Amino acid sequence: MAVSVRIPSVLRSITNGKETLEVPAGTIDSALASIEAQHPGLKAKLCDDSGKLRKFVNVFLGEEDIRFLDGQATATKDGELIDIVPAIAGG
Amino acid sequence: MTYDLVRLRLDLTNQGMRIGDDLLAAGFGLLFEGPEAPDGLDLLLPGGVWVNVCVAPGYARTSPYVLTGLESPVLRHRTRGDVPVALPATAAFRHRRTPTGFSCGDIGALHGPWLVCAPLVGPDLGLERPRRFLGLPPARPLTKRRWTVDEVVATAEAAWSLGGARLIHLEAGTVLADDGGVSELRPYLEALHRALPTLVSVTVLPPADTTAVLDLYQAGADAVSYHLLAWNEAAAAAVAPVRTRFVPHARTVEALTEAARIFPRGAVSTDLLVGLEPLADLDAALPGLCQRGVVPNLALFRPLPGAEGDAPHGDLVPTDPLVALMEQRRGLLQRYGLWHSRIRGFPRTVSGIDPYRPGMMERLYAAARRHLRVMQEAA
Repeated sequence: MAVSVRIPSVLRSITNGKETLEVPAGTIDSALASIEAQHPGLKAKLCDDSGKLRKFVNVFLGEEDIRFLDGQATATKDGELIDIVPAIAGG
Repeated sequence: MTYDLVRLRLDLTNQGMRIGDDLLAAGFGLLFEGPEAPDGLDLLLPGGVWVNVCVAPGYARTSPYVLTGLESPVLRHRTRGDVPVALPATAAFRHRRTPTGFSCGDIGALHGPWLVCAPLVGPDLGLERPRRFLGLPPARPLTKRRWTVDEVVATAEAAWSLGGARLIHLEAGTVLADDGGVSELRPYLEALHRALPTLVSVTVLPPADTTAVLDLYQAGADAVSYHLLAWNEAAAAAVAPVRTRFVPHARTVEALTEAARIFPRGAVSTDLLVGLEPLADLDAALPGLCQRGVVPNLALFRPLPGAEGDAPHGDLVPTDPLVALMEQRRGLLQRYGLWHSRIRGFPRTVSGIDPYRPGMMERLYAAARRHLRVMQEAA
């Protein structure tokens, strides 16, 4: 088993249309590094040059926003779901 | 900066706004990624006044307004200074999934106190051009799926608990049916009323026979909108020729008149697209509709979502005459008693600035009135 990372529709052009990526369990940071290794350019959309999540990007682990957990150091376990959700949506 | 909130709201709706580089660098730029870039963005002005502002780059690039400020967002006017604003938080709503696995954000959109949802799929009535004005849901592959009653109810519950939405608008303005879409909408209306103490408005095409208007009210629609598009029939036909062939102007007027007789005062409305016909025609339309008991919504031009190079259609109508038109409209709504209904307001109404959030009393009133009205009609 692994951790699933759900990619928002606005970034699926980078993942060749894939909605979900599989990464090894570890932390949110390691998951971000892993999706970057699979699809270069993805992390730059989510994080700034220092690797910190951009202000208007939300990351949920299960039902919890990681800002209310341990941030990017939050540990992940096999079978969990990371959901990347842009903070702002138009329409 | 000193500002008139009504004028600011109207001017923003009309002129759009640009997004500051500081916000784009902080992740705001994701808005414009992918093929489905949005045309609008919600803002809360001082006092919690909600407005949806066009941000499509092609449209907004000449706007004097720019949204900026990472910690405390402000709306900066080129010459008039800053207005503090807030950005509605909707991420938790969009993160929530229905039991079928779809994001609630795919099924509905939060706009102020409203959840707007297009559950049904209709034929292509050549509405691309009016779609630009009406802010109809974009014709994305995802929205071409028909959402089930359970999916819509789950989305409404999420919007209620996570987004504070207290009203639901079902957009079914492309469903062409002799009964005006009543049979298709009925299960949604009944389920939504059973699940939440909410009010539900619908946009539908007018029925072939006006007796179906009562059926729609009986089914649970608390407010209805049949769009004329323009007061002048030729102007409406020019912008939506296919729709006009199937749905003549007279059929829409008849349905509006019948709905105004059945629904509560102020709960029947129609969209008129500003810019399609001379403002003088709209000047005449306002009293004509208000006399019939119909609330005229003045809808402004909006470009198609994702239309990067889209520019305003023809000349942008200046804000000043629009303010005068809105003022006339406000006076007429008061004069004809269309403003004081407990059930009123549509998401695209650009003049209503009060955050209307009905409670249980409004729900009870609506249910009791419906029961009595339907009994009265049956007798």
